[in-house]
Amino acid sequence: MTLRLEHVSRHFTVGGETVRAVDDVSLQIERGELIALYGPSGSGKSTLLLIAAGLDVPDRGSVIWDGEPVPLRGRAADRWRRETLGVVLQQPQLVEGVPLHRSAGLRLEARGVRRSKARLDGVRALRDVGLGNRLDHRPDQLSIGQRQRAAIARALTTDPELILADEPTGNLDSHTSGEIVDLLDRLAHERGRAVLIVTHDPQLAHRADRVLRLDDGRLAELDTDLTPAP
Amino acid sequence: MSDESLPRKIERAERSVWIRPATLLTLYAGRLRRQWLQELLAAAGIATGVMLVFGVLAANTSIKTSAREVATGIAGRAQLQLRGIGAEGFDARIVSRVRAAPGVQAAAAVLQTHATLRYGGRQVGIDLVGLDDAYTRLGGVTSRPAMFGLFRLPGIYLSANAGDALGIRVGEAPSRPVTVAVRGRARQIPVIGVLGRSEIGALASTLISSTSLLRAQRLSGLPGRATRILVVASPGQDDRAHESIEQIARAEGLQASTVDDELRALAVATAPNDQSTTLFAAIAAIVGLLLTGMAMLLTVPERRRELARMRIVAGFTARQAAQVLLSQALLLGLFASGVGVIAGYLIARSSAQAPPGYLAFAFPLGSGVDVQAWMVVAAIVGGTVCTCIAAATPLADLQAGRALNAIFGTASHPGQSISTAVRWRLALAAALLVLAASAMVALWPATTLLAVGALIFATLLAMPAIVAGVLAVADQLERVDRAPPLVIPVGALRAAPVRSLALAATCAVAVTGALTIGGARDDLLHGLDQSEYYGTADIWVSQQDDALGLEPFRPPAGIEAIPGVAAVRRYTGGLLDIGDRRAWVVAHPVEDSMMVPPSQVQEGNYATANARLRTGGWVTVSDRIAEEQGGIAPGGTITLPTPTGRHTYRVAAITTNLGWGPGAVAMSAADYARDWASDAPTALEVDVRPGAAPARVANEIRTGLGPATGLEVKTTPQAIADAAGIVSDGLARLRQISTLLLIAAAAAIAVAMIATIRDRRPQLAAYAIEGWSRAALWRALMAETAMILLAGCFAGVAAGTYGHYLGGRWLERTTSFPAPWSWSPGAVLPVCALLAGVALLVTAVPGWFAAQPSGCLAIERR
Repeated sequence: MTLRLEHVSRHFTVGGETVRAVDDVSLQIERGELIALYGPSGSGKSTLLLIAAGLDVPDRGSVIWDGEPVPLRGRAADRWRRETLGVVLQQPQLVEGVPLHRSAGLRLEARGVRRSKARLDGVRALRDVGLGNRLDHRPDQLSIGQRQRAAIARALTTDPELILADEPTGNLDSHTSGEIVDLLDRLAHERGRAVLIVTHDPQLAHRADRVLRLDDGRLAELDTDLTPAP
Repeated sequence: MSDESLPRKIERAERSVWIRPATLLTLYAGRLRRQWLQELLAAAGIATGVMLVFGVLAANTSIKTSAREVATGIAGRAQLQLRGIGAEGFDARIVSRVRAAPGVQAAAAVLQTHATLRYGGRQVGIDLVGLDDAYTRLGGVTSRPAMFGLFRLPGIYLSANAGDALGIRVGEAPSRPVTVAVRGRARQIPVIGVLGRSEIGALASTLISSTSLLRAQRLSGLPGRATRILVVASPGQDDRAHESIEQIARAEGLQASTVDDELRALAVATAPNDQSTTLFAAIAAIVGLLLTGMAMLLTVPERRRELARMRIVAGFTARQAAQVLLSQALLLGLFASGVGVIAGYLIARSSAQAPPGYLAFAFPLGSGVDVQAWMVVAAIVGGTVCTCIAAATPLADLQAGRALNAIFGTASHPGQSISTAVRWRLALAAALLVLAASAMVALWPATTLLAVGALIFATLLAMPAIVAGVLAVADQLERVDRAPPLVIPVGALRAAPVRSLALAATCAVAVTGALTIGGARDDLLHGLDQSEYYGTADIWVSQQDDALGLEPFRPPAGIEAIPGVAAVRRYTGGLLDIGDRRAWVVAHPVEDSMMVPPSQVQEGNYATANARLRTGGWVTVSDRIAEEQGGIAPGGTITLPTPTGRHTYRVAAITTNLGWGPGAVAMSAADYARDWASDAPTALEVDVRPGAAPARVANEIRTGLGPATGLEVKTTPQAIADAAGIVSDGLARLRQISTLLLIAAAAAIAVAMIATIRDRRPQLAAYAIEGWSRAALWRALMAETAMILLAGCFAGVAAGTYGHYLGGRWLERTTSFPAPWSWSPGAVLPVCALLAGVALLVTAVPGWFAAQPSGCLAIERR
């Protein structure tokens, strides 16, 4: 299973000027690989992530998953995201007001899995990320790191092949960041998932197998000697 | 010098406790740029609440104010008047004696009678007013140049409102021939002019037609008669003039009074209606102010964060942060309340186009809206204060340490959780409040408004428990594998309890108010069921538009001979001033199966009363009249003024007011004919032969009367329907208030839901990224709205049913209108369906668009 972005460009017109958010970018992510997309704010990282997730349509180029173009609209797009993709956001959007064990299986329910089974699988995923003792807690009763782990657990319930994480440690202290990175690392290297992390945190980027640096929308170089992003 | 002053200025500014108004405006402009849609939606909600408050206030005061303008317009400088008793009037030559009486400077005779005008397929009931030449000296409307043709030109003038009803506009070519039907006769007469507000002031909005006294006498078949003499006293001789006309009144069997007595009589006539509408307008106003507060409450989570940012990031002092918050609420409240006042004015104007039909029979009434300064001030101040109170809740965060919650506690809406213990305590307080209110009403019925207010407040207190109950049911439902996925809506409602409660409470108070008002209105409609009253005959013949049977006419000959007619009887009715009460006199012929409706007898035995009325010399009177005449009981006596002098009758029973606010007197038609010295009926009751169809016989009678008749022939069901229409007219304001209340609440809920949905787009975007389909997310949003509505409707139906009971009993006790308690699901369901339907429908569209959010919303940095 491979995600390929081929000569992808996305331009916006802001105040009469053209902003090249993503400019002729090509990249490939294999299963079992953890890739960091590193760059300063406004470099186009999130736009590239949206394109990779099939949530934004590139002006040019194509997004290929497993040899097929990623569907961008309609039920096929919904299905592709449900079955293939797991997304972890900087702000973990958990279902507020209900205990974790009731919402962890929601992705499976969206796939049509029976509720009782979906919840069991959800609980299993929560245990996998170390939240077995927090099943009855509501999101507002969790720390930010625990919330992020719950979001990862929810993303994992459908066993997605591709995991896209948008600044997953953006709000976390270094210790909690480390826990989240460990988790993502295990997903890639122990469970064989393709993981793409968008970050401007050099420490997180260091943990990746490959680091792609994005500057002004262009994938500049493979970079191992990172300097802190502004 | 400037080098020294600048640091000092900065230091002073930093130490300053207050922020300059210009800075506050700049800060608010910035907020408007950032949160323009949220502010707009909050403003819409506030404006909706204020619209309700103002619309109700304006509509509620219009009738009396317009009547005052009309009375002044007609009477001019006249302070005194002589009135005839009965519709036949009195000898107009008495005016010469009045003019010659000591203390009188000027006097003019007036003949005022109800008439129907027809033109080009349209018809309208009007007051035909005939004025003598001396009227110009009174300084009323006829002294104006536009009316100079009144005494010279052969025709009639129409008020703009009457002209409009006939399709003849102000300024259109005169001399159009209209048909005037008065006292059973129809004639054609040209219209000289249609007079607008610039020519006759407030009279333009009445349904009135004026002509010379002589022409009015000819048209109405009352030659040489007048119904009223308006009198101007010589300067400083008011008492003497009053004494003079009192003497003439006694000698001629007339009633002497001041012109203001007309207004007092109107005040008495409208009092029951005013009392009821004031109660219900107050309820609507409470609901409106609550809607205002709720709309602002929905913006509170965001304002809390803003407050925290001000304190922590921008370094504002607590007082300065509070200043910013409250100044923004003040500006928003003032602006939105202003918009609400304009919208309320438009609504009140549209609902006040026609005065209640039942009052128009007894008083010349105007229409239109009288906006008084206090209403504008009350609506704007009320709306703004409620906005500021709701906006002030985040000020609690100014306590040390809590500001951090609002910024960093982004998991939920911090500080909003309501514990189970608090919920129970609030529910208990609600129950105690209802008990206390019930006890209060039982002991002091006059405190009903307070009790209904307490009931609404108790509903608010009970809302946390009711919403929790609905969510608990949803939780149970969710356990079922095949049940719809409710975890997203349930979670959303639990995560923002204040928002959920505000929305559900909005729905609850609206349903409570609408059911209280609508239920009491339905009770009145049932109580005023006209089938008993009209059930004494198969067919009724009366003057056109005279559904109450008040206008006498010369009975046409030959109806008895029409095939199918078994019997024709003469019914008489009229208005009689008893003190300040313009009472309705109902005089059935003794051959009728019933002399007074049995369901309306309050004291005394119906069968006995019926028999006594037939024997003559007996009357029944309304409870209020009986009270005012010294507490008369069945068997007692009452003295009434009549055209032949004062007569004493024995009281057979005490009744309700028979649906006529000032009260009613029932007697036999024979007594009426003798004491009023008139055998002219105001309606003919026709019985049909067995086997004959009343509708067919009614057609035969119409044919027999010919096209020139001014009479109208109705079968009993038609007469009942027309009378019910008039009763319904009289209660139109209650219907308008309850409908307006529901629409306002539905709009407020919809606006609030739109704001809520918009606020949640990032989370919806996250769900969409995870593969939730648009339809599934839309269903979740609709389920969330439905759960709010369910909780609100449940609480509203419970409180509204009790409010209906309290309101109905209060109406019965204080207004004397018959209002038997009636409740049916058929009355409750439309209220809930209207509210829920509008709210769901309005939420559905933005919900559909919000259910497919851009993924950027979830990914974008906050």
